[in-house]
Amino acid sequence: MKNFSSTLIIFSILSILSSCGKILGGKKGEQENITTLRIIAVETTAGVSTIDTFEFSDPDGPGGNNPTRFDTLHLQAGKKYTVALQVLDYSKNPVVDLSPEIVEEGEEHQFFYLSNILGFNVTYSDQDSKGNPIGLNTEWNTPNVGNNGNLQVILKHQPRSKATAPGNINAGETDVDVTFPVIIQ
Amino acid sequence: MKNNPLIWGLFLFFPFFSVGQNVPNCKKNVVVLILDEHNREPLKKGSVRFKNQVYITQNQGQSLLPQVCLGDTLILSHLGCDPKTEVIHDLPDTLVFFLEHHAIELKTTEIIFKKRNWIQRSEFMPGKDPENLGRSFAQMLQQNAGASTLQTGANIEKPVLLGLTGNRVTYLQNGIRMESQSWGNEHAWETDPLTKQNIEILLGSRALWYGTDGIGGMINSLVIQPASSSKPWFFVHGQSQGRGGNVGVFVPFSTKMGLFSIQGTFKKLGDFSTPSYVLRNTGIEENSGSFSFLKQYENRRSLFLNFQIFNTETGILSWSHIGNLSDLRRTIDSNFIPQNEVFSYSIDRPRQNAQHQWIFGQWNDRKLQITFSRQYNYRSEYDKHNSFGMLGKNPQNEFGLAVNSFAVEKLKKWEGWGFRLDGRNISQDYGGKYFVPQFQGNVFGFSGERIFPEGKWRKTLVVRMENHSYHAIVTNLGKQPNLGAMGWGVGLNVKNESWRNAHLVFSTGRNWRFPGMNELFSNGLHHGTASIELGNMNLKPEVAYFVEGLLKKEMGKISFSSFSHFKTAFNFINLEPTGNYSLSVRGAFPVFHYTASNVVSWVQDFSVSKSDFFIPNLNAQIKSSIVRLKEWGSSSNLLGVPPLSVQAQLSYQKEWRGIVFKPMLKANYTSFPFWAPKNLEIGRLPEGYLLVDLGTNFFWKDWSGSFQMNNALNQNYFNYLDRLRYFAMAPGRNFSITLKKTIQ
Repeated sequence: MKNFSSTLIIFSILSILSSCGKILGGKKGEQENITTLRIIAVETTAGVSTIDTFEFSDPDGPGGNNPTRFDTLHLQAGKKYTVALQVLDYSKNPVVDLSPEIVEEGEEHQFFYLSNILGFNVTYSDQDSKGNPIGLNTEWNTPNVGNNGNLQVILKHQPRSKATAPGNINAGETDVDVTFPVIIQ
Repeated sequence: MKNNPLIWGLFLFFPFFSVGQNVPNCKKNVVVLILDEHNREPLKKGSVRFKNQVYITQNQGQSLLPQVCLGDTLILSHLGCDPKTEVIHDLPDTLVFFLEHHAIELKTTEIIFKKRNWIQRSEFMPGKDPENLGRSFAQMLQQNAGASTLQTGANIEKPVLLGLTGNRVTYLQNGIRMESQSWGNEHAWETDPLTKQNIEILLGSRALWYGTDGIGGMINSLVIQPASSSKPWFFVHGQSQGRGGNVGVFVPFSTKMGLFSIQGTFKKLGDFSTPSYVLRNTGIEENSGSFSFLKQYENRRSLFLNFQIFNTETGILSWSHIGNLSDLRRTIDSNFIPQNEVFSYSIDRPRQNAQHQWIFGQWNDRKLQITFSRQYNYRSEYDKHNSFGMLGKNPQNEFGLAVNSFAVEKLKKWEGWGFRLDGRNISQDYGGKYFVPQFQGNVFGFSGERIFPEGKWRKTLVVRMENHSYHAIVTNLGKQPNLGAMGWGVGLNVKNESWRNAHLVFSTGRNWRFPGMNELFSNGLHHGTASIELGNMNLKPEVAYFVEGLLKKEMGKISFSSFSHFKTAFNFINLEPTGNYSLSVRGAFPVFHYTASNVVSWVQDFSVSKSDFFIPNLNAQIKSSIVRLKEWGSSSNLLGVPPLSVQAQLSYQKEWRGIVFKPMLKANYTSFPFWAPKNLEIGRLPEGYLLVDLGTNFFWKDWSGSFQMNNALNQNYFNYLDRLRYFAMAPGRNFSITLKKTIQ
């Protein structure tokens, strides 16, 4: 019995010695994630500019709740749009704009635009330090007749594999992949 | 004071303190007790040569010697053991000696009959065989015990028993459960096999002693205990795959306080290669250490303390971390063959880091065994793409898990019954994006074992009750459920060692498994499979009924064994596609959820071996394994069940100029996975393949070593059980050499 009691005491000492406060020791890392893609399209006719904003937003990221906003792009036929993308993290308060980070890491990132609408053209108007396109800033030319279809906006992360212009959509992994419905009137 | 374990425990921290006492020079009668060094079982029919007389040990390993004096010499021997000479320095009533029993070195899949009448598939000693020294835990199990492994690339492996893995194959260390299994299949067990004295696979009824949930089986490793006969050793291992290797050292020593040992291992490997290209970012770096203390008292009482620490950083195949389903399909459709990849030792994103700490104490006497342990696991996972901004260096996922466990086993039978009471308190936390919840849980279990030794059919009955209670914090659902249940398992083992000159063992029973926290509450994106994984709070505990049998017969130089296992399981929890897609800013991901169904499984293993095959000392063996595991009414297996495998092996032993060589040639055929669920397959199923391994172990004085060539034909193949097979072939040919020196 004496041995048994002593053993219990030893184990109790071991237990106390081995107790580690918090399980993660206060590490609990956070990240900034892309939750929202915002398209700001500016069309200027006769010195008058029209600004349209379209958005896809899924604040809790992949899985969980459904996206809270998923807009259809309503564009005018036969127009030229100056377009800027904003990549946002809505899971943070205040909301974080990640677009400057993408510009900073421009040699590893490129946006690609794929559309099934005949006559709809996108041209890059920005570039990284090596002169290759990034695609945050673009110009869109819409066809002269009304049409419906899709526009797929893809952001690829391509460390060490980003190709020279016009780029290689098959390299790297996907950071953003949103297919917007498009109505051209 | 001498026998007070508290005092001796405290002396651990004051190593210069010692206690001595005066003893007489001779004693009229002294009992010599010979035990197996590995499992502490008595060795009967051993011999003790003393003053030109030979004394044979009885059933309990004991023998009585007359008129023993200080300075007398004993020569101890036993069939299958190296003889050992001991000089008597002390004269207690009982002298305890340990012999190293080589019979359990058999590194085959054949089932070894232990003194207890259980079906055990295999048992082996990690540090004994030189070829084992460079292997991971799962590789050792695969090579020595016939287990399959579920892989995630070259360095992340989990054992598969009876076609099952994950939560259904429990890993125990000295009978204490290691809890980090709930983190999913893409994580290896955080343990260094070289801290283990031996490793045994427990199936059927035997597994019920430790838990009701070992539906696939349990793997119990026994931590190295320092012994009076332990010798220091060190080893160096190098291999061509990864262009690295590992080094390790084991140092036992003794003081008047007791027996000690210190062990350490360091491993570094760079990128692996297929026959055609380099698998970028598949390196690994590991370091581990352990410390043990054993104090033996009179009457076979002992106090054992052990501390282990294990750290690993594992690279994940660079191009396997994909963004979404489109990336996965594009990779598969393009039949991607990477170009211009160059070898590197650096471990970049994606990668996993893991730490494991373990403190263990065990008091043992002939009546009672009391065990305490605390384990702490930390894991961080880094996706290929770091996050943006200031927080970019943080991991995407972090998990912390702390477990306090105890077990009390009654060793001395009461009315033929042995008992075990155990419990554990589990706390898990996470950081980064949500995938599995923060939770706390308590599990208590009570086991009873009754042996009926009468008659030719020796029967053993095991019963166990378990109570589980958990409190989870499911952040993404805003819920904090309390849940739990009580369940039971029972097993009956029947053995006849002389049925028509054959060994025959039957085992039948019932398992019960409470759902894992990941199965209940996971909710998030799995990058490796580009899928959303959803838990199911409505899952009920699994209940499985099994019956298994083993027949082993020896006919001269030919031996034959057959192992059959049948099981049916209700509420069997499985991860299945829902058929839906989840839309996110990264695109659409297929959604998988945990669901329950009823399944049936069948396992059939055969083994035939012949010694002195054509020439003396040449042994031949052929063995095969078939596993079916499917839902009732389905013709397809569940996902990830091992394909048919057939293995043929020739081994030889030859002594030449004092060097013992043990060359081996092994051919292992793995078939096309005929019964794989083709509707769940996103790529092409891998063809069957033949792998050839050859090599030799050698022993010379205090040196031992191994030279091996694995995948000697440099075969191109995809492993069905590798989760990264969609992205790359398995590694090609590997040369390895190991040298081990034991210091006398």
